[in-house]
Order: sequence, then C-alpha cells, then structure tokens
Amino acid sequence: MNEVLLSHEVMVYLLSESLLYGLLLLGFLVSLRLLKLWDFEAFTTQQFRLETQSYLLATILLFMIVIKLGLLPYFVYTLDTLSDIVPGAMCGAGVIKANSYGNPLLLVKSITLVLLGIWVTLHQLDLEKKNYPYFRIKTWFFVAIFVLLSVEYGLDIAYFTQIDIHKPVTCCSVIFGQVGGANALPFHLNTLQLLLLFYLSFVLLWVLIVSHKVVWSLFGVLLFAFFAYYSVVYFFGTYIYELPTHKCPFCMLQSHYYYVGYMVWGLLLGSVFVNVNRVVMQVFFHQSVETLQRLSWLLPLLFVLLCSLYVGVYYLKNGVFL
Amino acid sequence: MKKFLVNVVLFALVGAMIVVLLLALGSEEGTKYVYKGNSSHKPLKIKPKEYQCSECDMNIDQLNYLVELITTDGETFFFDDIGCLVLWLENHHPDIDRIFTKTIDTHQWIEVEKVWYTRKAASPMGYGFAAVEKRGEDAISYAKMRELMLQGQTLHDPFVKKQLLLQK
Repeated sequence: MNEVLLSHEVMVYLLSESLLYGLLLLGFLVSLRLLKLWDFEAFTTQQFRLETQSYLLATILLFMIVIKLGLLPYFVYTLDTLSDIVPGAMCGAGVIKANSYGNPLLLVKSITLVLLGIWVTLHQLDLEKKNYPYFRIKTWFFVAIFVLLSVEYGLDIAYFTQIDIHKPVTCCSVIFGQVGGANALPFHLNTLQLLLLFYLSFVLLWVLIVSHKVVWSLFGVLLFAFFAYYSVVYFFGTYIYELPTHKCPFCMLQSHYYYVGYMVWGLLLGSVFVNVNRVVMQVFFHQSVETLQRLSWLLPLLFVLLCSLYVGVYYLKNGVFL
Repeated sequence: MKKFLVNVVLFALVGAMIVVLLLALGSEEGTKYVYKGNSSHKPLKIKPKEYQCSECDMNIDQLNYLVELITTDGETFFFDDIGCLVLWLENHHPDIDRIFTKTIDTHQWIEVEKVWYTRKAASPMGYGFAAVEKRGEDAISYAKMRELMLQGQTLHDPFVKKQLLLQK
C-alpha cells in the first residue's frame, strides 16, 4: 500500500473529506427533491415538510463549510508533513508538484471556498426575508458547487494515491529560486517595480472600494492578488525567512516561522473571497452586506501591514535591507 | 467635485501602474531568449549570462557547450546544452536554417549533424552529451544522441551513469 496513505495526516484528511462528501451527496439528493417539489405559496403538508428539509440542508451545508474552511489549511499542513517522506521535498512546494493533480487540486479548493462563501451570504439574505426569495437560486447554486466539490474529491483521491515516494521531486529553491540567475518575475519586472505595482494596486483597490465602484473593484482585487502573490514569494518572504535567497510560498507555513504563512495567505485569500462575494451580492442581487463592505477594505489593509511589518522590523533590528 | 477627484486619483493610479509595467517591459532585465535579425545566418558571439536557454530557462554562462539554432528568417535561439535543443525541438517546429554547436575539443562552431558526441561530458544540464570534432572511441552521431536523449538514457539515469563511468 502507498506509504503516503498510511500517514496519519493523510488518513485524517481523506477520512474527513470522505465523510463530508457523504453528507454533501445526501444534501445534493435533498436539493434535487426540493427543487422539484418546492412551492412556497402552497399550504400543504408536503410543502411544510420541504421547508423543514431545506432548513436541514442549510444546516448541513453550513456545517460542511465550516469544516471545509478548516480543511484547507489542514491540507496545506498535510503537504508540509509529507515532505518528510517524499524524497527531495523540503516543504509543501515540492510535494504539491509530486504529480500533476496537486496544483489543480489547490486551485479547485480555493475556488470552491470562494463559491461556498457566496452561497453563505446568499443564504443569509434569503433567511432575512420572510418568503425565501433566493431559495431556488441558492439551491441551484449549491447543485453547481456540488459538481465542483465532486471534482475536488476525485482530485483529492487521485492526488494522494498517486504520490510516488520513490521518485524525487524538486525542492522550493529549484521551483521558485532564480535558477541560473534567470528573472522569475512576470513582465521583466525587477523587485522595485514589483513593489511599486503591489502598493499601487493596493491603493487602487482601496479607492475603488471607498468610491463604491463595485465592478471595477473586482478587477482591482484580482490585480492586487496577482502582484501580492509575487511580492510575498519574491520579496516579503525573504524577510520572513531572513534570507535573501529563500523564495518559497510554503516554507513560511512551518513552525520555524511561527506558522505566519497561514495568516499571510489566509488574509490574501480572504481579501479575494470577501471582495468577490461583495461584488456578486451587489451586482446580481443588489444587496449591500455591511460586514462584507467592512472586511473588503480591512483584510487587504491587514495583509499589506503584516507584510510591510516584516520588512520594517528587519530594518529596525539590523539597520539594513536584505 | 468629490466624484471628479476620485476619478482623477483612479486615473493617476492606473496611469502610474501602466508606466511601471511599460518601463519593465522595455528594460533589459529579465528573460532574453531570442536574437532577431541574424541576417548572415552565422553563429553569434554572446557574453556569459546575456541570453537564456529556450528550453530550461537558465542563464547561459558556459559558452563551451552553447548551441545556436538559426531560423530561415534570422531568429537565433540559444541552448546551454545539446540535450535542451533535442527536448525543445520535440515541442517546437520552427523553419530551421542551420543549427550550430560549439565543440568542446576544438572550440569551433560546427553544424550539429556534422560532429560527434561524447556521452560523459560535464554538460551544464548534466545529460552528459557534448559535441566533439574528433571522433573518439565512444563517440556517437547526432541521430543516436537524439535517440538516447529522448529515451532518457543520459547521465541523469543512475544505471546509465554507472555503465558509462565503468567504461575505460
């Protein structure tokens, strides 16, 4: 049997995902029944039973979303622990590239979480109204998300069952390092230009949010996330590691760096998640959710402050930049 | 008035970002893979780290193993290792005029199909193949080298490495 599957973390992870998928499958079947028979105007016993079932479905989904939210960092933690048995890997960066399913899996997981977040907001709006105006749309939305969750579950199984522990993988310094001095940054950028774009995109996002340019703020947050990713890997990360040659998005998730990577990537993913959610709510449902509005500028601000703090503290401690 | 000011700020921010991007795109920093306008269709003399290998992206700093592919319209692609050329040609099909390699024994530019290849050289990517002008005992042709490269029978394979290094 594949040794990867015998790892405690992988067992816990796959078992949790399997249980969740079982619940989701149940939820999916209930959704189809609800979509077929739902008639809010009817005063029949069946309709009252369906309303109770819809409440059960929402509870299952909310429970699943909370667990899923925890399982994303746990998935990354599992990758990190696997670096002990996958030859060549020094952190999760090598493990995720152990086969071709790793990166698509991480991407699908992130997209699913954003979509589930939109579902939660839609559900909240639905509950606030007396006549469940968004019931059908939120249930169809869940059916669509279920398809994606099925793909994710399939990728989970394919990824963990097909990690070959006899095949060496490349470590993060090869994947993200400047091999042979080549510039790994996009558009021929140098570090200074990258930082300029990072801070400019942050200010742009802020102005777009404050001036209520809703649709444009979606472009703003995606632009910000793009430059933020490169800035963390190729600049801010070096201050977290206190080593100018160490460029990796995964190592910062380890205990040597006080697990700060979870906060860094959590804030960035959270910024995208909240802003996309806010835009969808305002554009498609003409609803402005106060909490989302507040978080949409707060999370990017905290992200920028956290990253900049590492540079500032390093400079104050050592009197030089890296 | 407030709306006008916000639009001015937004315009300035987007403008600044575009300027930075244009400056970056126009700079010499970053990747340089192709030389355009090699009308003489002869091998180009380059400096170490001036160009990057089109296949593996590494900066080319060992010029002894350099390979140059010249297309019919004068574009020149650079490779740090003959193995990289073989791999690159599997996925790219340019109109090739000529392909030159530097020989490690005589340091001459010769077309890749007119030289022999040793299998035990310390080539930049570690495949072990390098061009030689004078045929040695273990020298192989370009076609054979290509075949071995695509089969993965290079110094990267521990079995092949042991076999080759045990040969006298």
